Amino acid sequence: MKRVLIYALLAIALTYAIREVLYIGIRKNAGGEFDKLNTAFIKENKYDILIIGSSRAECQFFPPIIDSATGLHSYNIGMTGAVMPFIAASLEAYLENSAPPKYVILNLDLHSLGDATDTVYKFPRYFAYLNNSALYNGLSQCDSRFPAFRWISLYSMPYFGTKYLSNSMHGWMNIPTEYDAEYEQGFAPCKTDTRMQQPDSVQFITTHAVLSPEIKNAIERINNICIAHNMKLILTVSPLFHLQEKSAVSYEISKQELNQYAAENKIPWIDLGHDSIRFRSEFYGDPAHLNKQGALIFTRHFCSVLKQYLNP
Amino acid sequence: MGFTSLQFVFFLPIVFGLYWTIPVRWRNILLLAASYYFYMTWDYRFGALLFATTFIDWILGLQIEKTSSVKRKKLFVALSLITNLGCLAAFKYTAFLYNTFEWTRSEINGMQPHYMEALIIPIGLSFYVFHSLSYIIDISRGKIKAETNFGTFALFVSFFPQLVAGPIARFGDLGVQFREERKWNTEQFLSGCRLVLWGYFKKIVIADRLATIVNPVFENPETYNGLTLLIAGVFFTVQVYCDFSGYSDIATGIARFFGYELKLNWRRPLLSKSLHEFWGRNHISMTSWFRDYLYISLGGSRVTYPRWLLNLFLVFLISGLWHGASWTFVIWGALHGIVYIIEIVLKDKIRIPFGGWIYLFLFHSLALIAFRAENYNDLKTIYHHIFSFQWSAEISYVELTGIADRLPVLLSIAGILSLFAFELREEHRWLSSLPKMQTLWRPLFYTILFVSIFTLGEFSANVFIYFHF
Repeated sequence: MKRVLIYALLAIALTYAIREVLYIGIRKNAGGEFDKLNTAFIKENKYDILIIGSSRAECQFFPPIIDSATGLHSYNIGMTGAVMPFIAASLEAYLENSAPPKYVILNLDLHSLGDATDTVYKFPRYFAYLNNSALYNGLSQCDSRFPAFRWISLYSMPYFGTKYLSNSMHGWMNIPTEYDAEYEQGFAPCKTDTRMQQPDSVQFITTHAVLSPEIKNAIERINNICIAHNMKLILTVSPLFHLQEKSAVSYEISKQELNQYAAENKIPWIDLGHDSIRFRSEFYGDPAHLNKQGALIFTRHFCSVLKQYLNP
Repeated sequence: MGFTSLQFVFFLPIVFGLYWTIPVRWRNILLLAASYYFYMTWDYRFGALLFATTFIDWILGLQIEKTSSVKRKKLFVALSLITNLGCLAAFKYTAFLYNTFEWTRSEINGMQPHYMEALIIPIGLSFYVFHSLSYIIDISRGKIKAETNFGTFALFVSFFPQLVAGPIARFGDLGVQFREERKWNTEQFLSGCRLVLWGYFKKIVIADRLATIVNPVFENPETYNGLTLLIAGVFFTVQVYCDFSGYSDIATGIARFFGYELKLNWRRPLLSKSLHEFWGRNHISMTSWFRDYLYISLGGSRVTYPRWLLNLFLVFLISGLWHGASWTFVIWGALHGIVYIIEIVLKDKIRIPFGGWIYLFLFHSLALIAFRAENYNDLKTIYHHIFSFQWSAEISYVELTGIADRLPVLLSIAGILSLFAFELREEHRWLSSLPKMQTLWRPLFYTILFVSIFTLGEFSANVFIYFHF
């Protein structure tokens, strides 16, 4: 029995060692999704403009255009599936290793509003970055399983899956994945969904835009972080596909409430929610996201307004 | 709560710890309570059905033993058959029979058929019904004595390791073990651990990984090349074997934790060289159940030659229907029945090349496609694509890597190879015969298994296939 216990402990220790090897492989990725997470949570950066938000931020704001329009350096740390409390945590996590940017652009949209879930979308992709204490605390607040994910290898490993195993192997072998080239300064394009060829046939689910206390607190937290680090927060609203907008309940009311909050706190407010691009299905990858072509057009529109809020 | 659920990770150590610390007289009660809890985590109502059928069979078993009248014995056996098979028929076959009737009516009258939804089948119903029936028939045949203690009989029917997906136990093998006090045996516990590990490896690393490729193919078979469908069929053959034998290994291993022995259920069937040999190695507890209680009841081999062949065919047909209430399962059973009979008729008349292994594996894989196909139309499509022989290796490669990327496909193939390497080693005992390797190899092997489960396992929610039966 004693020998069995020793082997059991050895096997458990081995899972910790293998997990660490896998995480190192993930962090070794020099391009794509994990290079973006490296930038956001590990690297020391000095960007002037930081774009934060969910997948709409990630795939609609194209930093190279912002750079050429403003003469500044920007990076997009929009995180797919991120809810507002996690967006706040991602900003804190970025600041743990990087210099505060001059400007923080927070993208708001229908999908940022509503009840936050108790899980984090694609949560295993953050496992390799839990040494970033701000990220770890933020994730733990959003999903109570994160302490177990961090400390118990037998609990976290089953969630890791082949996708991340593959990513780790790519990192160790220094071979980019086929999707890596699509990422540019944190921007990741939305792949085109065939449904958008016939948008009228798409069934849009009624979505309630509710500015819950949790979301208000998270926005307040982002504002406080910006004030504390002397960063200028800019709130922006990106356009929803017009049919998707029709299915939204209380969206305009919530936007007005946010606009009022921005005015009270003297936060610049860029509302591009009514941009005419929202009627052009060919510029949408799916009903909730612009495709790359749409993102390039939208970013140009956005930059033309943004300039007035930048300090000379 | 399945063996791969997080709940079970907490459930098993608690029951195990309590079992070996409480007084002996409470142990069976603990196991019975734990088994009912385990079962009722799926749906508490299923527990009532399990209890009702168990109680009825317990009473009937006592009555059969008590009476000396053959007529009355037969009446009690018939009552048990009606109760158990009635439950099975009501839950499992009502929709199947009704829909078959509706389809036939619509074909004759040209009217629109009104199909009914299948009822929710209480999990493990097919298995515990067989436990109870074997008990009743064995008493009526004078093979065993009826159990006077209801708790012991109820535990035999509901013992959680084998309750929902077998192995199908006999009271003479397992039930009698509940009458005796179990003594702690370290070697038995360790062999249980080894079986559990190997079972989880087969389920999580091989079967569930293969499922990520097999499932998308069988969900839309019309979009795939014939070769891809054949590969998916071969993958499914290994998947279903690893899934079910993995479950049996885990069940047997867990039973050993409590000092009980379950009968061997699988003896490397994928290494068989004929269908005859295959059915002597595959799902042994089910095969022997059908042999002892159906085949023999039909007259077995003590009948005319054509009747004997018909008996064999009927057993395969009913076995197919036992697996699932669908014509695809009947086709699977029929295919096995036909080829089994052909093997008997042609015995010693033709020599099968390559020792028969390739023949058996290919036939079994092609027949299992009927087992896996979602419906009859899909099955026709799959066979049409395969047997039109318009195969393209290039297209298959693109299709398979399109489903699951390259790494999962490679891991699947590695899993299949590791399974065959392990089974060939067991079959021929060549590695175990090296004494130095034995001491070094075994702990290393099980350490690697443990780590592989967590590193390479596919945990994205695949229940055991045999739960559906």
